[in-house]
Amino acid sequence: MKESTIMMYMDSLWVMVAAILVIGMQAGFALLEAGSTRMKNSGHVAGKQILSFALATIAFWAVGFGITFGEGNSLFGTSGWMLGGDSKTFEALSWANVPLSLKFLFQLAFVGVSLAIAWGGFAERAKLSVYFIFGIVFTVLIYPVIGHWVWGGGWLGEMGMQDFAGSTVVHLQGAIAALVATLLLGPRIGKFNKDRTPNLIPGHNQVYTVLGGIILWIGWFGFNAGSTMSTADGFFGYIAVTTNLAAAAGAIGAILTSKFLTGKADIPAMVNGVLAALVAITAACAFVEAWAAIVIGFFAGAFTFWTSVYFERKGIDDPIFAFSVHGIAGIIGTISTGFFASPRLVEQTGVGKAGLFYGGGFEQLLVQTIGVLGAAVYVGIVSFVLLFAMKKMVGLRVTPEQEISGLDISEHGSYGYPEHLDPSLTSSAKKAN
Amino acid sequence: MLNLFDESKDKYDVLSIRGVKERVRKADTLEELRRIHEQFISWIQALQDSCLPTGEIYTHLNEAHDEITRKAVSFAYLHIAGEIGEPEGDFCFFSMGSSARQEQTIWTDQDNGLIYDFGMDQVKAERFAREFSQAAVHYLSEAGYPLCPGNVMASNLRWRHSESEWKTQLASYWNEAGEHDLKYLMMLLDTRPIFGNPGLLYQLRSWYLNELRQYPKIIVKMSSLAGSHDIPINFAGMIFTERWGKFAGRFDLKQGVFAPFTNTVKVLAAISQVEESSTRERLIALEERGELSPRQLEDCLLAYDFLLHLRLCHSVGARENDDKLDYHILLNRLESTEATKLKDAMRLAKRLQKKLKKRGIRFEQSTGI
Repeated sequence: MKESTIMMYMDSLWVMVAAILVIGMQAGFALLEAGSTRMKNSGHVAGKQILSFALATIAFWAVGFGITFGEGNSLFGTSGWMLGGDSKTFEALSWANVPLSLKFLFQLAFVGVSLAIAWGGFAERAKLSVYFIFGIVFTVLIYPVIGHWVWGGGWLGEMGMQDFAGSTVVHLQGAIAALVATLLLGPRIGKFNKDRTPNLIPGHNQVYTVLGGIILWIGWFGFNAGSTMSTADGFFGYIAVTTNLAAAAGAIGAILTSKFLTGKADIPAMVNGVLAALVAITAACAFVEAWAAIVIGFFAGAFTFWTSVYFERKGIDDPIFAFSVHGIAGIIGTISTGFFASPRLVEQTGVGKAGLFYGGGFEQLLVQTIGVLGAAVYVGIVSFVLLFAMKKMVGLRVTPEQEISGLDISEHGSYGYPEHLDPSLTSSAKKAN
Repeated sequence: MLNLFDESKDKYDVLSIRGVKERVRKADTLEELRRIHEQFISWIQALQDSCLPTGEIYTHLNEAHDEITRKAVSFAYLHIAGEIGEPEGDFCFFSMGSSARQEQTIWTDQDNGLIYDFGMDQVKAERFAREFSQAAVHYLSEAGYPLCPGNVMASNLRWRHSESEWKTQLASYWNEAGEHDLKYLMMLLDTRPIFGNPGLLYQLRSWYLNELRQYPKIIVKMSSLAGSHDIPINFAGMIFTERWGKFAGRFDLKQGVFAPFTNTVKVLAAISQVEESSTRERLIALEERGELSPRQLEDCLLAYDFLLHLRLCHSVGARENDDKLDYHILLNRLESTEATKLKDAMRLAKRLQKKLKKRGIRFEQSTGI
C-alpha cells in the first residue's frame, strides 16, 4: 500500500474522530445552557440543541457548505450546492487529504457550535419559531460568508488572517448574533429592577453547568487539534497541548478574578473562564508558543469575567454570558496572534506573519483587527436586519404569561422537571397512593 | 434658630438633650412621642452642623431614644395595670441589639425583651407579662419604632421570661449549642435596662457571663462565629459591593463591617467578663484588662467613631422613599479620605476577628475543660 494512501486513511480516521468530538460539543452546550438557566425552561433549552443541529445539518448541506467553501468570488462561494460539483469546486479545502464527505461533516460540526453560541442570547424568552427561521438563515447567509472570507479563499484569507480553528469564524460570529438577539429581545422578566439594578437569576443546576464545561473542553481537542485535518507530522498534538494549557490558565484566571473582584470564587465563572480561554486559543493554537497560550488563556478567563459583570451592570441581560465568553474572548484570541504569533509556527502553518512581540511589526496585528471588525460588522448588520424584521413581522419574544410559566410548558407542553413544576402530577401521585 | 418642637408647650434650646428629654417627659400621647421622634432628623442635622463629635451626638441621640422608649413602655404599663391590676414584684423591660449598645441612629427598629419576678401565681404573672409586652411593642411601633423583622421583641415568648425561666433558657442554649442557640446567646450579650427594675437584668447578665466561663467550647464557637463573619475587602483594599438586587453596586455598611466589628468586640468582652453593654465601654474595659494595647484601643476607637459617623450620615441622608433601616451606601459618594478610613476600619475589624479566634482557643486551653 502506498504511503499516501495510508496517510489518507489515517487522516480520514482522525477527521472522523475530531468531527465526532466537535458534534459531541452539542451535548456540552445542552448541559451548560440548561444548567445555567431555570428549571422551567430546562427541557426547551436542552432540547433546542437537537433542533439547532438538525436545522444546521440540512441547511449547511444544501447551501451553506457551498457558500463557505465552494468556488466563487472573494465574498462568497457560488457553487457546490448539496456537496455537488467537480474536483475544482472545493479547491479551498484541497489541502486536506480526506474525502469530501468528511470535510463536510467536520465543517458542519463548526456551524453547529457557532449556532449554539448564538442561541445563548435568545435563552429563556425567544419563540420557538425564531429558532427555525434564524437557525436556517444563520447557517445559509451569515456563517458561510465569514467562513468563506477566512477559510474559503475569501479576502481575509488572502490578507493572511490567522484564525486557525475559528475564534472569529465560529465564536465571534455566534456571539455577535447572540448580542444582537439579547438587545432586541430585551431582558428577561425580573432581571432588572426599576432603577436598572440587576437581579440574580441563577441557573438551576450548577453540576450540569460544570459537566457541560468539561464536555466542551474535551470536544475542543477535536475542534482545534482536529482542524489540522491531518496526522502527518503530529502537529495536532502540539495544538492539543496549547489548547489544554490555555483552558487550564483560563480556569485559574477566572476563579482568581472572581475571588478578587467579588470576594467569592464563583463556579460558573470558572467554567466560563475555561470556555473563554478555549475560545481565545482557538485562533492562536497553531501560531503561539506554549507560554503564550497560558498568557492568552489566563487573560481571556480573567477579563471576560469582568466584562460579564460589566455588561450586566449596563443593563444587558445575556443569560449565559455568550457575548463575553465567545465574543470578547473571540476578539482577544484573534487579536492575540498579532502579538504572539511565533515565526517558527507561522512558517509551519504557512499563514500570515509573525506577531509584534517577535519583531513582526504591526502588519499581522492590523490584519487580525480588520478581520475582527469585518466579521463583527457583517454579522451584526445581517443579524440585526433579520431579527428586527422578524420582531416587527412575527415577534421574537413569547408573551409575558408564557415566559413566566416557562418555555417547557408554553412551547412544548411538558416540563423538563414535571414532578417539581406540575402540581397536578404531585396530587395525582398522592391520590394513587 | 431651627424650630424643632411644638412651641405651644414650652421653649427649649434645640441643641440640648435636656430640651428633648423635657419635651418627651411632658408628652401625653403616643402621637406626640412619634412627632418628637420624627423631628430627630432636624435635631441631629443641627447637632452635626454644630460640629459636635460623633460620639457625643450618639450619646444624645440614644438618650433621646431611651426617653421615648421608656415613656411609650410606661404608657403600656399604665394601660395594662389599669386593665388587669398592678403586678406584685419586679420586672425589667430591656433593650437589645444596637439600642443596648447605644448605637441607634435616627431610624431604628425594635429589639427588646422582658424579665420578671412577679410574686403572684404563674398564670397571672404570665398573663400580665404577655399583655404588657404586647402593649409595649405595639406602643413603640406607634411611636415610630418598626417591629423587628426577626421578631426579637418582648411580645415573642422567646424573649420574655421569668428570672428562673431565663436561666433555664440560657442553659438550654449552651447545652444544645446549635447554630441558632449560639446566635441567641450572642444576642443576649447585648442587653440594657430601659423600664422597671434594672437589678433584675444586671443579676441575670452577671450570672450569664459567669456561667459562660464554665463552657469554654461555647466561647470557642462564639469566637469562631463572630470571627468568621465575612468582611468584604480583598488584600488589595478593594471593597466588594453587592452584585445583584436592589442594592447592586452598594456596600452594606452594617453587615460588611459594623456588625462584624461590634460582634467581635462583644465576644472579646464576654470572654473577659466585661459587663458593659456599649461597644465603646467594652473597648475601654478590654484595654484596662490588658486585652488591647493602648495603641490598639486608640485605633479601635477611631475606627468605631468613623463607622458611627458613616451610619449617622446615611441615616440623616435617608430620603422619605428609602428603606430607613437599611445601610447600603454608595462608595463613590465617599471622599477619598473617608474611603481610606473605611478600608482601614475593615482591615482592623479583620485583625480583631483573628485576635478573637485565637483568644477563644486560648481561653479553652487555659480552662482545661
